[in-house]
Amino acid sequence: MRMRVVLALLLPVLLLLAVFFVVPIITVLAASFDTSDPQRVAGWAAYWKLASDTYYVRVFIQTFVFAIALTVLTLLFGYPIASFIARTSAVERGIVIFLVIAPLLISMVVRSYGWQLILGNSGLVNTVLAAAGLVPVHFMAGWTAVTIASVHVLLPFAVISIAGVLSSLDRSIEESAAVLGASPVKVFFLVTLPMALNGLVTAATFVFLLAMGSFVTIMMLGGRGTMVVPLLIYQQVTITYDQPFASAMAAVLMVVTLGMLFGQFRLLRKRSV
Amino acid sequence: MRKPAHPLLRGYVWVMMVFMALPLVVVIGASFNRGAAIRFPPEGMTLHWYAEVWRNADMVRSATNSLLLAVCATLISFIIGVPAALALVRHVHRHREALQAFLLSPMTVPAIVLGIAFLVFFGWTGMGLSFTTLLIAHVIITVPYVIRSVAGVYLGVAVSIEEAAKVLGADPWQLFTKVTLPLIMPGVVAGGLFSFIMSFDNVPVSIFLTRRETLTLPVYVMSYLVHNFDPTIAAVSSVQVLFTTAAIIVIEKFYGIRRLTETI
Repeated sequence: MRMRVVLALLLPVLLLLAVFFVVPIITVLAASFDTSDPQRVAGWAAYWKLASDTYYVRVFIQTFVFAIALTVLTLLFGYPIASFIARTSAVERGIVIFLVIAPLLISMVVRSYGWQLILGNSGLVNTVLAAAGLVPVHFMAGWTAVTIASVHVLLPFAVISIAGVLSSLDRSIEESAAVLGASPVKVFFLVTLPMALNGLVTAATFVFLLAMGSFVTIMMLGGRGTMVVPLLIYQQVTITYDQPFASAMAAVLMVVTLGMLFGQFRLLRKRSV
Repeated sequence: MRKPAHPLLRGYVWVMMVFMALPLVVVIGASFNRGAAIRFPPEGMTLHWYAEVWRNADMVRSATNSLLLAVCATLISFIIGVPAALALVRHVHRHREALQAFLLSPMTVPAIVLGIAFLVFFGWTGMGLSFTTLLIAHVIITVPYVIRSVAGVYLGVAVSIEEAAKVLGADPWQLFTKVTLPLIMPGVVAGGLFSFIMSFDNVPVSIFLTRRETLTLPVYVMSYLVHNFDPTIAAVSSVQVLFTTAAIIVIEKFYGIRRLTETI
């Protein structure tokens, strides 16, 4: 009887995921082998093109380096904010959490648009610079604008997950270390960091996955030089209508991402033993 | 008593808070701009662009679509996600990790891959692009957030509380509504909030699955910005900021925004 109840609770979501998640993922793999249109690069030829054409190789590398760089930057900028949340007064904590969460609830498109108004050639920063008699800076269409806006998008996720990790730590251990004469730097590196590491890696994974899949900020603030795989996939589908090749790119992106996740999972396993 | 935060840390945090608020302040400022070109600081005050939003039928419809979509996706995620999370934590013992990994797996696939996968799948099966297929795609994205938050909170709930209720004669429905649900409420609120955000703000999946009638707000705004550069977008975004702030105040009033960080 109990088995039936458990099954009843789990079945709806399992069925939904099987039909509308697993099958679509398989179809996209199959679609990359759809050679019915001789005009299109499909099948192994598509994968070979991705592996040998220097342009695609460069865009793939660029995508991963950018996602990793964003993850590191976001964690570095976010950690102090999270640790502040963990130790400040209730009122200030409420205000800071509000300011961190509020941008999250406003569309990424809108936030990127806000950055256009700030960093654009006649935007806020350049208006201020011109008023001060300084040379205007060209932020847009390059990595600077894209990085600033992406950190802004990802920071709330990082702060919320790190704050969750920090609030679950046993603070008395840190205090004991301090009482026993460890300097704040030592306490951080030898006590807090090792305790929080698993949670931090989870937060990093979360941020990394979000960074890997989205292209809104890059589409709105980037230029020719800032191409990444998600944007390339989007263009293949909507501009060149090359679904097989786009599917091949999606398959490679997915496999490499899962590979990196698996590596991280193994790393965590080793640490916790 | 905890050691108070270092003044340098406090200074850093407030600089970052200005950074977080800056794009929103600029967008709100630009929405009142009198000129047709977007400027910040604005050149004079007007509410013209707000009227313009109201007159733009496509924009209003895409906003309603987005709202309806996010609400439906979140509700369905509750209906199928909460029972699954409860079963996962209490009743699955063998292969629990594998099952959990499977239930959360849509989160581990890059969003754009999901987008093209749905596009190909709905094309091949002949289901086509409609509000229903868009909703299905969104539920796949949102349900892991509900499961993760609820399971996370439920793991910390002692089994003895529910057992005590059973001993005292609670039937399964009473057990759920009077005991379990109040205990897992922090996870439900956090999961629901994330689910709503992930649906409402989604572009990488929606952009492939929407047609003119089913356009969502972020997709509409993106395509609008390609051809137009007037403050209408700033105005509609400011309305969104207003609604968001109201929503956060409501959550704060009834629940306490601080507790969110304890559950995500």
